[in-house]
Amino acid sequence: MQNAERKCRGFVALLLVGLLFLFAACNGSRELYDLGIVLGIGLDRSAEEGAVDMTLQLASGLQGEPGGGMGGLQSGEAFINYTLPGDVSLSHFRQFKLRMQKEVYLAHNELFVIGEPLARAGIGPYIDFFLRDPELRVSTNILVAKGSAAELLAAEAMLSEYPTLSLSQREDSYPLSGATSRCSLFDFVSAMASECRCATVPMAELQAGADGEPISVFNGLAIFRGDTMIGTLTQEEVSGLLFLTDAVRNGALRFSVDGSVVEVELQRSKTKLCYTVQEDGTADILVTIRSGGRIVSRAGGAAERNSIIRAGETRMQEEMLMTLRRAQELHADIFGFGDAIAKCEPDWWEVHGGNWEANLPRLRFAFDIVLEPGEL
Amino acid sequence: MRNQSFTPRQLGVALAAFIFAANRFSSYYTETLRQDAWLSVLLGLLFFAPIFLLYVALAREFPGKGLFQINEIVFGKGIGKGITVLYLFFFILINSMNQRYVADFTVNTILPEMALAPLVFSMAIVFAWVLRCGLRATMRIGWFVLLFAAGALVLSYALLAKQMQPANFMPAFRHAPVRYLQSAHTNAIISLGDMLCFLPLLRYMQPGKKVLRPVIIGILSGAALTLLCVCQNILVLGVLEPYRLYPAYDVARLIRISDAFSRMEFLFTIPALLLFTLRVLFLFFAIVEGMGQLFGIEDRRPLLLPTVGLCAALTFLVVSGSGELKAFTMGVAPFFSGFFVLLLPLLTLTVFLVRRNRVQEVIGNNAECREEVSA
Amino acid sequence: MLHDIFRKIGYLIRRSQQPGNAHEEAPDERKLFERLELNKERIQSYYGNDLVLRACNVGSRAALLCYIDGLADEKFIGDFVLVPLLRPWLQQGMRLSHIKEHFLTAGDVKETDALPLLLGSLSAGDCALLLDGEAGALLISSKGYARRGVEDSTTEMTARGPRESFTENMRTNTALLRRRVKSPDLLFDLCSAGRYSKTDITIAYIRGIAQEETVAEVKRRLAKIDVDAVLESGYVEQYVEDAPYSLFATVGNSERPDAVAARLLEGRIAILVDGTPFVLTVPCFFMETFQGVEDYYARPFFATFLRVLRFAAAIVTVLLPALYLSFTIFHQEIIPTKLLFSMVGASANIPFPELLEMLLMSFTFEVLREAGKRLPRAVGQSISIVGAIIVGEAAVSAGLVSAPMVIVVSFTAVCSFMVPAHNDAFTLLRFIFIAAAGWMGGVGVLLCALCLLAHLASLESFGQPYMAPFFPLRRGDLKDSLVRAPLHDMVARPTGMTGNRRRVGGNK
Repeated sequence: MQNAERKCRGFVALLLVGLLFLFAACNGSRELYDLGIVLGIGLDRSAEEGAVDMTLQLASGLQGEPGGGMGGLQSGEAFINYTLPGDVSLSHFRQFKLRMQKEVYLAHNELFVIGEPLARAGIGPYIDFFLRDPELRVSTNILVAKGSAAELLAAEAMLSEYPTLSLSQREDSYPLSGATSRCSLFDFVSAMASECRCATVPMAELQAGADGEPISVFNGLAIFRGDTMIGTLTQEEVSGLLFLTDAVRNGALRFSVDGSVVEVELQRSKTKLCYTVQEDGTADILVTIRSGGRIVSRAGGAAERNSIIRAGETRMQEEMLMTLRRAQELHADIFGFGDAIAKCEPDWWEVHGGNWEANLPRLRFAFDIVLEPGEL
Repeated sequence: MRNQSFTPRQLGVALAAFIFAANRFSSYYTETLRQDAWLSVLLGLLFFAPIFLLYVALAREFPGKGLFQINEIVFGKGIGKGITVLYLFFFILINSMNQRYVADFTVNTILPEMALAPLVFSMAIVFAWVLRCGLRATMRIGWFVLLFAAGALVLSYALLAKQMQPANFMPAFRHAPVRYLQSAHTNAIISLGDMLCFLPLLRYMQPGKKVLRPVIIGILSGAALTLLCVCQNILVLGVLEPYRLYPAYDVARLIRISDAFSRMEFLFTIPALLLFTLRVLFLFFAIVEGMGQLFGIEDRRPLLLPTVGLCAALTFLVVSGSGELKAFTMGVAPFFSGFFVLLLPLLTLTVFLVRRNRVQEVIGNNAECREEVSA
Repeated sequence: MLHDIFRKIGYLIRRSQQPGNAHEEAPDERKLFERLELNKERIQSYYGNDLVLRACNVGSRAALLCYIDGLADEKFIGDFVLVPLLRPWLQQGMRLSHIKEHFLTAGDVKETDALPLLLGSLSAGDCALLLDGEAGALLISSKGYARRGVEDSTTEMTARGPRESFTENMRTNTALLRRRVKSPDLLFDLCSAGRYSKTDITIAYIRGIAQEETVAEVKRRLAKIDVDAVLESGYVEQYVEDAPYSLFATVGNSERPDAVAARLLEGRIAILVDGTPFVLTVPCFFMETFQGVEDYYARPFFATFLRVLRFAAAIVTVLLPALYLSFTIFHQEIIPTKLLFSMVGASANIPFPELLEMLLMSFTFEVLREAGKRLPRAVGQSISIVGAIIVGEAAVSAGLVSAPMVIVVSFTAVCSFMVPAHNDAFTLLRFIFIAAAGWMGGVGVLLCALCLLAHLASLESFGQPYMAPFFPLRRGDLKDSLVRAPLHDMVARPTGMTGNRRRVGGNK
């Protein structure tokens, strides 16, 4: 009897395990060679009304030959750019799959490049599409191309054989360059979800290189209200933004004092903002900065240390004021002042928060800057 | 079934893992309180305290007995079995929902191209195997699973330190009081109240001098880990937190050690999945215990496969997707579960207190009968 | 004399009437006869031509000396048995007991009247002296069969520590243990198993340290062994273990006397089986796999490092192929981008799916390993190495497998040699995990790991949890688990194995 029971149980167990193998095709495994590894995605406004040119940059040498009838096909040695017009949707991606004979794999996508015309038209639906993809990283960088995203993706790469990796690495290295900031998909969507904050996205453009070939260069930031680009910050205005958002890690100051041109490398900088709200809906903001670094060069003149320090502090203030003026012109809170006030003065914000953008130009700023460069 | 005994300390650890598992990747409390979600954990503990005292009172009055045995003693055999059926219905439903949650989470995040059926089927086989190994073995591995999950949480704190913004907790205490009540109620009933499933298993606990202390430490540890998890979600995700179905998973997706190691959310999901399967297993043990008590089957082994199969089948029927599951958890479960978690045990204790003498007589008779039989 | 004849006739009649075991005897027929001739006939009926019968006279009485050629030491018999017996001044009518007490110079002499005992002793290498007119015999220990000397251990080699290992002779083994534990509390209880082999089994334990219940349980399980033969300790292991259907053995074994002595001192019980140098120890724990006897001779920090390394190697050998497979076919996002490029490039022209590739490579390695064991020592190593290199290189060049796959399988193989004790279990587990990974990737590996963990946590070895001190967690015993605390910190014996836990201090 016990034997029969055991046999029954063994049979049932075998049956259960065997049934598992009936599900053999349901597990979603993919061989490495079946993957079309996407490194970068570019979006441009199409000539066709309402359509978007989507460019996928894939690692080459690993990919199969594309099918016929592709849109644009550009190729470097290490990568292939596929461009396909259409609407950014599931069927659009399916077209890629059909033509490349590979599975579009977005998990290693490093960069989104949005062409400026499309950015000005609004990119919300496309962001929503990509955000819902489980493979895509929210830490993917975003970049706005002055001109065409597809051209930027095809430009010669500086740090890597893949243009997207090069661009992405340069954007990631903003703390070292101090010349741009970084905007990931997460940062962008957080700004979109915020009540008043505007996202700033690095901009890049093509310039002629030494050998005449176009190379990509970072130049300024794009300002987005919601999902639509409303303006830009020039390269000079970027450093002001970095000071005000406490994002300076390795900044540079260049200024004249007493006939000499001084360059200071800022290696430590800490910004604190103190808000005093007013009943009329405006606020007074005290910007306190403590910076340290070293004087890199001093050409001409014999300025005293104190003069250099004062001139440096003045220069920092000027840069910040430049950026503030630009933001106020655009009624764009790119610094997060509104978010900060909403958190620390919620009662006031409930009353006046709705008019924040309108009141932005009326904000008053005071600066308390201390610069402590190293020994001369 | 053999291999069922466990110590009070193991029970404490199991409770901590059980509570932590409920909140590791879920988001049902964030929608209500958003940046104050951490408060719902503390308030939930406060709300749960009287329920906990109720369970302690029941356990003290019936030492060495499980919930289903207590039902039969207090209400009599017929009504007791009826009450047991109610509890079983609750545990089976909760178990199926938990399994569905795990399966949905896995399919939505880790294995997007996998069908639900083979996943649920595979999990069912694993559950059956672990059930067969016994409650004792499951209790023994509890500390490892808890430590693994807690370690992953602490590691994620260290790796995401730069992305944490304490200002995300502001503005604090801005919601209507009823929302705090609602969130505390939800937390108390769902993540803490499901601990009811340990009451039937108390009959297997080895008697010890200190029982209450490890249990309380376990509950508080689970709540503390939950608090850490919730705080991390708020610190990192900020305004995006209420919009995500699995906020802790999204937090893990942001971990970036260097260019080479930036997509490791799967590695941080593994301890959480292990934790969640442990939670489902404890519910299974309660169900098997109830089935055995109901049908009078001492050896629980024949009940394992049918129980696992039943719950696996119900996994497909109980809800149609993650959205419906979340809606149920937010809207219906606090009241539905409240009946089983609070009202039924309260009724049991009340009836016992009213019929105390009669019940003790019954217990005494049963003890005499057992002595005669053993002699 | 007549009485003896009638008994013999009765025996012969009964034997002819009962077909079957020719040597089944009525209870009284298990006794020796008084007549020497009858005894001689009886003994001769049991043995073949290896039985030596030396007739002689002791005093005026006929005597018979029996021994098995090849088992007994003839020189010893000659010097210490025959010489004293063949003295002209032996008195008439001398009894066996008198001979034993006054004339024989051999050490171990027993008197018996039981035929089975006599036959057993002859089979063990003793010689028997029978006297005409006495229903009894003297059993004189004269074992002299060929035996291997005490040599180095071949399976548990150490850089530091004693080199001795057990041999096939049980008495030598008990002596080796006695040399290390000189306390009179070290007890050896003898039993035997096997209907035909009648293998001697000794249970060794230290009174006052080993738990009496455990000793009784060991004896009970050994007594239940009812088989034809017990040829090796592995037979005993499989008959007494708690979980015969588990991949993991819950009975430990060792070839080293120092290791067994250390385990005895922790409260364990050793089972020595005659004919094999592998001594069993119970209870056994999973962590013993990672603990070498040399750990206690080395510095604690380095010993800890080695244990952690072995544990990591065990995890690698079981999980690495499965994890590699799950990362390459399910979770490619984890792989760094540039590494992914090289892996894609390496696997570009491979015709097989990754799962099949992994199974083929793993299977090939197992074939190479098993074949290497059977080759003659002189050429075995070279052929293994060359074969592995050529097979690996050729397979990659031919595009049958990818280079990363070869690296993964090779590293797994190397790690498997670090934990030889559970190599069989880990090998099977590796294939199970590979199948799980191929089925559901990391989730499959996780579910499989959960099953394994639960199974290990449920195992017991003679009443002790197999996964102690981890499952259940015994904090006091963690000092000698994955880490090896300094010896002066290890003041207590492991929990649960003994009531006498203190092992440091209290010398009288």
